[in-house]
This record gives sequence, structure tokens and C-alpha cells, in this order.
Amino acid sequence: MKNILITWVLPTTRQQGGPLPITDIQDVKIELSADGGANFSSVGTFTTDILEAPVNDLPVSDQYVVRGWATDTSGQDGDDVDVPFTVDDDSPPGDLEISIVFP
Amino acid sequence: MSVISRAYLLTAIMLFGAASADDITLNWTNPDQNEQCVDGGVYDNPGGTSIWQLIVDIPDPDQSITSYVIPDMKPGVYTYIATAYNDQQNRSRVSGSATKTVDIFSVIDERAYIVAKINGGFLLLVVGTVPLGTACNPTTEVNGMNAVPASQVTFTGAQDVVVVAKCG
Repeated sequence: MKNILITWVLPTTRQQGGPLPITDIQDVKIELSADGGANFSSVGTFTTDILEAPVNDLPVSDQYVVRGWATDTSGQDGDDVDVPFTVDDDSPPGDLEISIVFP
Repeated sequence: MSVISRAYLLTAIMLFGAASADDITLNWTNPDQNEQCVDGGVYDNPGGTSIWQLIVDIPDPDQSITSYVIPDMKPGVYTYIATAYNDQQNRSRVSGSATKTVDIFSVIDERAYIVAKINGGFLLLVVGTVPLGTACNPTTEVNGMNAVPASQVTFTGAQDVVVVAKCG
């Protein structure tokens, strides 16, 4: 099991390059998949003053994908951004196998 | 098959059933009166035969027992009747019947989830499928989902020993 912290940076421009003041951003939606992106669950919808979300107790897997997008105050959604990641098994070494030999 | 007239049978006992989880509890009221049977003459109006299976015989000359629990019943519909008998083994008419249904608490949506924690609650993440009808643990519930055996899950994502699914 491992705890992760999802962080993000708010966009400062719109898709065609125009400026996007933070006051024009309504919220950010963050989802998480544990099956390679086939299914996502909502981690939360966050206001612009929140730029991180912890998720705890994730088991070891290379199947995780975080998805996020911003929505402006007009209700327009930005493109999804998918970020795959792996939770490695970095737990301590397993037990030795010890045997006794009588030479 | 012949019909035998009997004398001084006990009055039929009353039977009430109640199902709890996979146990069935039978409660009854013991008789306090005898009744007498009379010869009804030729049996010329047959209608059929019912076969009953004896669950338990409870010797109780003091009439102190009025309840019996049948444990670990599998899902199904069960109908019970009972009889009392006196010290001469004269048996009463059968009681009224009590019918109880034991439902299986099982998977009704095949999506299987692992459970992670987020601020303020739990996050359920789809990681595979579990066969419909798989028995669920009714005492372990997270966000309306119940624990299912991980050994029954076909994983397509992260694996954990704790897996939940929608049950009913």
C-alpha cells in the first residue's frame, strides 16, 4: 500500500492562446483509474484555491491513471489530461529461507 | 395405504417461523388439550400424498421447549409443520405451516472495486469483475458495497485482498 499526492497547476491560457484569469476558472475535476483507464472514479471537484488531493492506501500496480480537467465559469470543459503512474512495491525485503545442513 | 382412526390425539401445536440471516428459528405453542378421533368410515375421497422430512425429534415431557433453531440454512423457501406426541406415542394432527425464505446476499453488479482513502471518505476503484451471485459479506460494507472473496475476482487492474461489489 502506498499514499500518493495528486497535484496540478491551473491553466493560464485558453485553448486558442487567449489569457485565462484564475477568476474565470470555476473548478478542477480529478478522477482516478486503477484499471489502465477503462474506468474512472471521481477523486473530487476542487475550487481554484486547492491544488492537491491525497489518495491513500493504493495497492501496488502499474495500472493507475489520473485524469483531470478544468472547467471555466461558462461551463466549458478543458481537455482531459491523463497521467499514468505506477505504485511500486518498495516494501522491505521478504523473509530469508534458512536451512540447516549437517555436513 | 389405509386410513387409520386414532383416539385421544393431542391437539395440533401452533408453529411460527422467523428467519434471521441463514438461521431459521421455529417457535410454537404446545397443546394443552386432548382431542378424540372417530372412525370416519370408508376412505373414498383421496386427494394426494405429501412427503415430509423429519428435522428433529424433541423429547419434552415437561413441555418446556417452545423454540428450535435450524442453523446455516442455504438459500431457498422452506415450509415447516410440527406435531406433538404424548407418552403413548399418539401423535397430534399436524400444525399449521410456517414458510420462510432464506435469501442469499450476493453480487448484483459484476464490477469489483478496491478501496482507497481520500479526504472525507473512501474512493472505490474498479479493478475487475466478480461473478453475479457470488456470496457477499453482509457485515463488511463501504460506500454501499460489501466485501467479496478476492479469490472470485477476475482482476483487470490493481489487486488487493480487500475487494467490494454491489450486493443485494
